[in-house]
Amino acid sequence: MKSKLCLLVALCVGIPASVLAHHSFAAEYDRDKRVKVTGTITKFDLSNPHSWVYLDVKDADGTVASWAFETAAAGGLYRRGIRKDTLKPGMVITITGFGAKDNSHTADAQDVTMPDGTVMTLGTENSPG
Amino acid sequence: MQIRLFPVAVLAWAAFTLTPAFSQIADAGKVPRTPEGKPDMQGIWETRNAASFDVSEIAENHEIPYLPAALEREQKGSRVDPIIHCMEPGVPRISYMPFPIQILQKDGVVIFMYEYLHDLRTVTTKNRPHLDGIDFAMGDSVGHWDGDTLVVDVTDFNDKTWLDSARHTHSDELHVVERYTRVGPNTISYEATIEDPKTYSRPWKISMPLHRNTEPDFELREQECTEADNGRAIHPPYRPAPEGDIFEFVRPYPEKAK
Repeated sequence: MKSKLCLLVALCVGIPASVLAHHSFAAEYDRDKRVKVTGTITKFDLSNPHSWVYLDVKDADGTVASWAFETAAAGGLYRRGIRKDTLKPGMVITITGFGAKDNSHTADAQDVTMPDGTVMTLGTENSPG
Repeated sequence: MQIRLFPVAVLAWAAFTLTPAFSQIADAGKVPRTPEGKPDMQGIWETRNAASFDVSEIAENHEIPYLPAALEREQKGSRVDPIIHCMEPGVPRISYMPFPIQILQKDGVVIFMYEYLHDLRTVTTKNRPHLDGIDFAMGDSVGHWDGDTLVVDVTDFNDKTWLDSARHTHSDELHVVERYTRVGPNTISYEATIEDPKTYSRPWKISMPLHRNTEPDFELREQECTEADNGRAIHPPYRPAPEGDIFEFVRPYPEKAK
């Protein structure tokens, strides 16, 4: 019952269910499904076991979809120079990664291109190169 | 004779068990020292309390000085202890989890190895600045020696851990200062000052002894946490995890802030 409620809440507030757990790359993502999106950051959660970047992405027809990109662990990103305020809500960024097997707007992040053109690696330890 | 001794025994028991927190923790015998002359904290240590279930047991005057808004936040928040989902216990809770702690030490560093979740805290005693721009469940620990006391300053916490199973929470502005004093061969006096301007009206303190495990050849073992199909942790003290809210029946929550 609780897990159903949890899932329902997750669906209603738009959090991908995968965010609620810590899974391997292979369980969640498809290495052959490359994604590249440009959107506006809504939230950056620098945390363990993995950090998450959330962004709103506008389709060609103007529809806005909320994407969630799973990134490396907090300590790993910190060593790459990334802090809580490095990815700020409102920033327009481009992220590449590997799409979810369930075709949700969830992906395993690879690289981010910042507004000034700087490219940083966000990838997790177990994502394909 | 036995009958006459009984009241004495009761008094002795009462004096032992009812000793208020912050009385001097005594341990006869010499404090071992490292070659550098610091108190040697090394050994395997254990608590013998139930603070992980309710931290007020070891709090000064058994009080946690809540701000009314924080109390309301707690009452409306989750009722399920995050460690049930294998979340890190945070600091200071890791220090009073009911599992052994091994301390290793060399000049400039003290290493805390916890059997619980095989957690590890590497504490430099060179008093470096805290990390900036990141939050961790276990915070960022920086140590220094204050005479014979190891002081560990811990900040950079997230707000996802609890201080115990009794829903005592904190915000991401938590700041913990731990003080470890080896008072004898078998005892470390542990004190911690806990402050969080978003949660408590003033800094408050906890204190407890850490007892040395004197069993020959005692070693830490693997302690693992894995979430079960029902989303509850499978690990020794909570196995098997029951369905439903297992903390539904804890004592009534205090209605007003102190």
